[in-house]
Amino acid sequence: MKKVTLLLALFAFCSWQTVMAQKTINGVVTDAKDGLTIPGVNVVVKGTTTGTTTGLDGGYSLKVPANAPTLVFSFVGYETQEVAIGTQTLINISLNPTAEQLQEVVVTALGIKRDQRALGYAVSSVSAKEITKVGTSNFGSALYGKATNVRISAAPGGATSAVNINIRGTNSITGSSTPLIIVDGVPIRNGENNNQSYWDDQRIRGNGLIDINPEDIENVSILKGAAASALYGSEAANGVVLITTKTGKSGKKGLTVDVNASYFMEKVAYLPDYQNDYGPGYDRGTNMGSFGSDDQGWLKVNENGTEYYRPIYRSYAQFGPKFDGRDVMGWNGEVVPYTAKENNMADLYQTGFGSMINFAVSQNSDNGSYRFAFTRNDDQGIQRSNKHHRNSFVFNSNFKVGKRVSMDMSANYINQYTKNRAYRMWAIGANYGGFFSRFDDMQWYLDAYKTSLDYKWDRYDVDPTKTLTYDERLKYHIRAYDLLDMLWNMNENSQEEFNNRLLANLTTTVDIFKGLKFRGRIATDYTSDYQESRNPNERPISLGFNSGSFGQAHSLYTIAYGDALLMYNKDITSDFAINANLGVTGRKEWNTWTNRSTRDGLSVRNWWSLNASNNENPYSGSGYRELIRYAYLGTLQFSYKNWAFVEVTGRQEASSTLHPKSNSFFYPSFSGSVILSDALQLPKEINYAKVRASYGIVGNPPEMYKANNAYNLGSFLGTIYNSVPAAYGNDMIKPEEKHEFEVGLETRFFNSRLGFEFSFYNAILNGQILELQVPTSVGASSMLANVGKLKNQGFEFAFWGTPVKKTDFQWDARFNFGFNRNEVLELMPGVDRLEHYDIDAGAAKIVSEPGKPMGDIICFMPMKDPDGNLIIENGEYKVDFSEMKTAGNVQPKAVGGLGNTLSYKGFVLDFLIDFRWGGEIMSLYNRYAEGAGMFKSTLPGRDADNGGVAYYVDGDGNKVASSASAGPNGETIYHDGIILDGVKEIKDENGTVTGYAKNDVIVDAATYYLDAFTWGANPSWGSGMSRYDLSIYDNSYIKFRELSFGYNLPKSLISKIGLSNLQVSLVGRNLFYLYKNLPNMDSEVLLGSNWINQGIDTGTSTASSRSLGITFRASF
Amino acid sequence: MIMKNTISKIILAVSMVALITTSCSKDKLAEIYPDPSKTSSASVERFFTGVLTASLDYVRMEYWRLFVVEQPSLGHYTQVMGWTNGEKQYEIAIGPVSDRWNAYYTGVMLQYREFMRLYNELPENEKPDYDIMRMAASIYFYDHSQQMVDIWGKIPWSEAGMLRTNNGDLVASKPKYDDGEIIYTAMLDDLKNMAESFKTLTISEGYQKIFTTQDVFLNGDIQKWRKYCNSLRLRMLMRVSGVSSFQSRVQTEVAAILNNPGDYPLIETNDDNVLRQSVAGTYESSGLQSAFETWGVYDIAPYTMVEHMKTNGDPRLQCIFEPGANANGEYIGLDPMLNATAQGDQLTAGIVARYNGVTFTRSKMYPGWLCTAAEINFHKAEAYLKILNNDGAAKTAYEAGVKNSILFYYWINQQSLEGSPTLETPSDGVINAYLQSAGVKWDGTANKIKLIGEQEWIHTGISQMGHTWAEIRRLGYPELNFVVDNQSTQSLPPVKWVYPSAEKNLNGDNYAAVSDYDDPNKKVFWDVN
Repeated sequence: MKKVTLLLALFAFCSWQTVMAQKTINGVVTDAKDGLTIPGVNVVVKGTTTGTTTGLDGGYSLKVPANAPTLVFSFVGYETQEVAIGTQTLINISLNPTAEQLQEVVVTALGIKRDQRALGYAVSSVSAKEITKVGTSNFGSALYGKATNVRISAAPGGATSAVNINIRGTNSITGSSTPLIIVDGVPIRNGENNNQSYWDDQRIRGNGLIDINPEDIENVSILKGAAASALYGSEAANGVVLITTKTGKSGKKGLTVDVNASYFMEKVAYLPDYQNDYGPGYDRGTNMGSFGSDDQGWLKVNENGTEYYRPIYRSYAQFGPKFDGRDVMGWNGEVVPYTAKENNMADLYQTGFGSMINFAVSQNSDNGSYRFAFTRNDDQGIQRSNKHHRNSFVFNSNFKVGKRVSMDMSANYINQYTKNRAYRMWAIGANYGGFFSRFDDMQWYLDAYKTSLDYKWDRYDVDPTKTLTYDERLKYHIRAYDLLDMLWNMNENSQEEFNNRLLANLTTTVDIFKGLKFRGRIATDYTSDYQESRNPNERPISLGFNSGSFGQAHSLYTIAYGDALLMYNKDITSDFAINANLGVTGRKEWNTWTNRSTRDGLSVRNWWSLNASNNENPYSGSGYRELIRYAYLGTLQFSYKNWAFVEVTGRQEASSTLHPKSNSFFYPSFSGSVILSDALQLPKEINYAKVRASYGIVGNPPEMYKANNAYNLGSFLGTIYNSVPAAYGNDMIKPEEKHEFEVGLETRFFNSRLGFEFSFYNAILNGQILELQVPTSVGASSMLANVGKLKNQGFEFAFWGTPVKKTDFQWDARFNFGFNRNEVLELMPGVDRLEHYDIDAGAAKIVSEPGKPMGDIICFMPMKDPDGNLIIENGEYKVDFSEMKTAGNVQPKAVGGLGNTLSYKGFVLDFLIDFRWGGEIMSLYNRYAEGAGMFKSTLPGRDADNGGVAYYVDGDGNKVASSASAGPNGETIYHDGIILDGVKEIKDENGTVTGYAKNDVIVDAATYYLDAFTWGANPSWGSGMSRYDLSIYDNSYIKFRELSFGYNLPKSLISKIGLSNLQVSLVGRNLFYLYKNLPNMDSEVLLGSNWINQGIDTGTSTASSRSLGITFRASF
Repeated sequence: MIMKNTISKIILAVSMVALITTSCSKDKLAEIYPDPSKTSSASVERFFTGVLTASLDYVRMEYWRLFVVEQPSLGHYTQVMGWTNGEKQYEIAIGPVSDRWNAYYTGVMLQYREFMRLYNELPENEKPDYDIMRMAASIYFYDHSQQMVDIWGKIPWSEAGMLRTNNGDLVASKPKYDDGEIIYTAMLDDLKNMAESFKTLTISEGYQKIFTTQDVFLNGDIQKWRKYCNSLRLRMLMRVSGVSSFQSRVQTEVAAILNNPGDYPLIETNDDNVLRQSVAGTYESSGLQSAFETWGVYDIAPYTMVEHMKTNGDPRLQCIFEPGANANGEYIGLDPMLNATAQGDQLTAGIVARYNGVTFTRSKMYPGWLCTAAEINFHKAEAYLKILNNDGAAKTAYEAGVKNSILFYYWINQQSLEGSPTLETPSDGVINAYLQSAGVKWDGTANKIKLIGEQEWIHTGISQMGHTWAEIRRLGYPELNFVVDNQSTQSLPPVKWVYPSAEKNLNGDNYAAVSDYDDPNKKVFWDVN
């Protein structure tokens, strides 16, 4: 009996074993209909907790007390069966599928559980197992590819970065596309994130949903259409995600203990394809003219009498001398060989890790149940100095007070510590001031960014009186000063966040009389957040520098929620039933914050106190926001013979974010379904067929206080003054309204071995609210307006099946596909098109125009001759600056996923592939880096090996092609010529174009890349040949998202140590692309919950990571 | 029975809690609709201060104004600072351009329009009490407006800033672009009217008290506003003095102002300077330090200016600049005609002079300049010289300008809170010696406009880069050399800024009328040189 391991000693109370006389019973459980074995069947000695479950082969083995009378076999979807044991030791039985085997209970609006067949709208349901399979730290990223027409976008940066969910395309032009998140019936804080431009917050923020621990989730239901979510009214235009957490009731009777653990390694993934042939330098003309180099881009330096070469370290471009290994004078002052450092970008990152341990105890009895769980997550991202941990406590209980009253109580306390969230990389990704060369060793920068006295680095031209370490200054005028600053900010500055969140919920249900129930609920989501930033002094105080800062910020965010519902169920006749709910719901949200920080630097080096503020008036701020919404609601459903259903719902709502004169709105829905397989005589292969249709209205309100027009009140040196805010509100704004019609079909065939589900929807979105950008010359930066009308139309298809089902081997596959087409129907008078984003001072834009999908990318296009050939002028592209044309659209056309589970005996292989089809992206990261000659894609034409045309420059400065070894007058032959494919204009003496001839004008490769891919596009500036259309890519991809390979240890083995289940899996996430079109970066690293930000890669995102790990799941 | 009781208690309790959270009457919703951090009440006098505190970022030496907007553009065009040559260095960066534009339209323009709306809504009998505020606010608004016209030439003005006045009617509020001539004319007309009104202005003690409280610039000193008003007129009249359509007006009004100092007083001594001063301990400025030091080294002394000052023994040299640490006390400016590598070598060697740390970089008290005595004296000198043909008076004004400039810089230096020792004001002897030096001397110098141009350039320098640039373009002096950037179509500095892209796109119909003019090489209307 001493088989209890050390670990189990902790939980020994749950694994007592009798010392009474025992016998072992073996057997196999099969399906009475098809004779196949059934794994997972509960086998319990009646009246006890002694039991087991059948293995994959349907077999079981159970020790029972010699006098045990009966065994109970139970399994979801089958009728429970009791068998008298008597003297048997071999009990093979077959279970009958229950009549309701096709009935699935789903959670719908307000947490009302409904039979799937009665629903007239689509609901996607994802189970706990799916969510925890590969050990993601939040449920959002676990949804990739699993719910039809639900697009997930997880911001890079690791466990602390936001995850955005987008249901059925983009439903709001405002940018808010995040659905309402409901946990156990209660709305929680989620929020927009990371939509700032690169001038704002440099850290990648999280959102509310990532706090919810996946291990505590029982089920996620996604309400997509307006009818499904109509009971949530003005907040449901983007759909609703309903999360049901695990309770004691979820498990089997008795006491269960689960222990889960995982450990992950994070490695940087999808780094660009750099060229490793050339070092820093511009085109030959600039190198020689502006920097005085030779024609290869070399500068000579004399160091203590010895002559060395060096390239132009100041250059952001990489068209300088070819790497040849010669000794050069490095910018760090050392003589180093001139070679490419092929891993310098990768060396910026580190190997991150993540670990999770979860321990849960639950008990379930007839009078009540509880579940307690504790989860600890530790993470360290791939960016240096980043750290995060989370403790999550959940207590969940249900108990009965007498016969008629039951109470459910749940509390989820989340305690988090986050240090230095991942930093945006705009300093090196979208900024010539941070571009570093392949010649540079990352270690040089890591050594250089701070001095030996732990102050910030000094430039080459620092005033000697303004540094204590003059000898350590940079040797030359280099380019990537912003990388040095970024390293300082990332590694020396510290921002710590201490976050405590409580989600609590108390629900009481009372059976008033048969058929009538009352349910009341109060709940809160409370978050307390404390942030402390410590930025050390960058330069010595003694030399008169004011630097460094210390700041504290507190914020409280509270949601109080309550609802009361009367629920009535009555079978009026044997065929006809009615179900009605009537209730009231209300929510108050408020948020207060205060912050203070030192001003004008710290007076004592690294003294972390507000008293260290050099200025006696530290910065301070505070604020308060409040929001109230309440609604009366009702639902009424009729069912006929349990195969025809009709439902009507209504919600009358009022909200404080709208002007008191027009703050009340009504949101109705109508839906119906017919179970054809019950109503009609269908072929027996069709087990289930349902058609459904629905129509509903939901809304999307303006943000708090956005509509309100009022004055600012300020104080200037003690004088009180009024001013007008630059953003113009609009008291008459109305909420956006979504009217959606939806039809669907759900089927199952061949004993449910195969099934599919299809939906078609059409949504009209009226009164889109936008903070319309206006020309500031009207006297405002923006004005709030209901700007227009949109349409979203699409279909969804989900398919699942079990192609192979053998005794030892089974293959299950799931595939889903959602297609959405968006169109702008009309815009308000005076607005011909909406400009959402201006790229590089008007070089390209993201706009919406009537008759087209939202988010066209427009830019200036190259000029073409009447035959469609590109016109080349002076060897370079000629761009038509007369008008901007559409070059792409940011809306994805379709999203989907393919999941497969293969099981063989105890082994389970599971993998998930997800895809996005269509939708263009403007990639500025690719653009700037190509213009700077950083990527392999800029090698063509640079030298003879890369197809460069040989030429010499004649006395007039013309480039003349030549195959000789020198020009006629001894001119040097260069091999970096490019002759662009296209035609040149033939002009007469008046300059009129008379015809076209094939282009034969040579341009040197560096000039071509620098000009075609430079920042900006404007004929009057130097960027007149700049082609933004070359930086627009279709962003389709197919990604091998998740893989898990698990092994369930044999019951016979683990039962000896008291375990009922033990699974070990190797798992991987974000593994590799099967297909992607966007070069040099992860297709998904875009930042921001706003749909516009999903269409432009501004180069500010950080690299993404690939995770590999191992998970353990054990049950006692 | 007991059970029934329990049930009803629970129902009651839960209902009550649910109702408390949801029993929000319509009144409660209305109560929390307005933003608690804003107010719905406003008064004319408080809005007057709102106008004076708007667009202050372009009055004071703020980080963004200097580092992002003005130094990399105007600072290079005017050579009031040294910089390392780079690729495409004369191309206009559209982001900073937009920032300057937006700071005006959503700053002083927006506040001024709302102020005027409130003023116009006053009962007729109350308006005279607020006249001084209307006039002061207008003067401040015109000063900013002139700076805008000097940069862009044509801007939306007469119809601009009206969205609020038009109750949010966007279509009606999109303004046309006004020609610079029209704007100058309107401002000169109004300033003239105000100059006349000042003659007879009376204000009751009560309203004087309110004005004094709310006037955060000149503390309610009506005489100073009057001088500012006339000085602004003189500045604008001189700006358009070369434009033929303004000839008669310039003649008449300049003569009237200069010949009747009692009626049209000007800012002639440093006591009357219009400055946004810092206040020790509460309203200090670290903008210069941030701009010069935070992101590297941007306080490099320019070559041509340092040479001029050295050659002529300018007393301001040691006050404005300081020698490089390794230069053995010699002042060496960074020559823009050297290539970047050679410039880098000089900087690496630590021999290049910098802006003075006490006066500029580390001073917490460096004031924002709006109108100074030296500048107005230089305008007077030019006016006497060109318009009134009075060389003696021109000389007096010129020398007063130089002297005021010297004294003003030393005063700024002495205000500094930087710990290093401050400089002693030079004696009259030193100043007079400077006035007699070859490059400064009035008598005997043929090209007196050159003298005035160079002195204005040194005086407004980095502190009013907009004016510095305007006067260089208008007068053609000082003569500055630039390397030609053959890698860019903008091979030399522009003479005007281009319009922000948002303005082009969102007010396209009105932009179309000026799109031909939207060229950095097309001149502002007064730039007839």
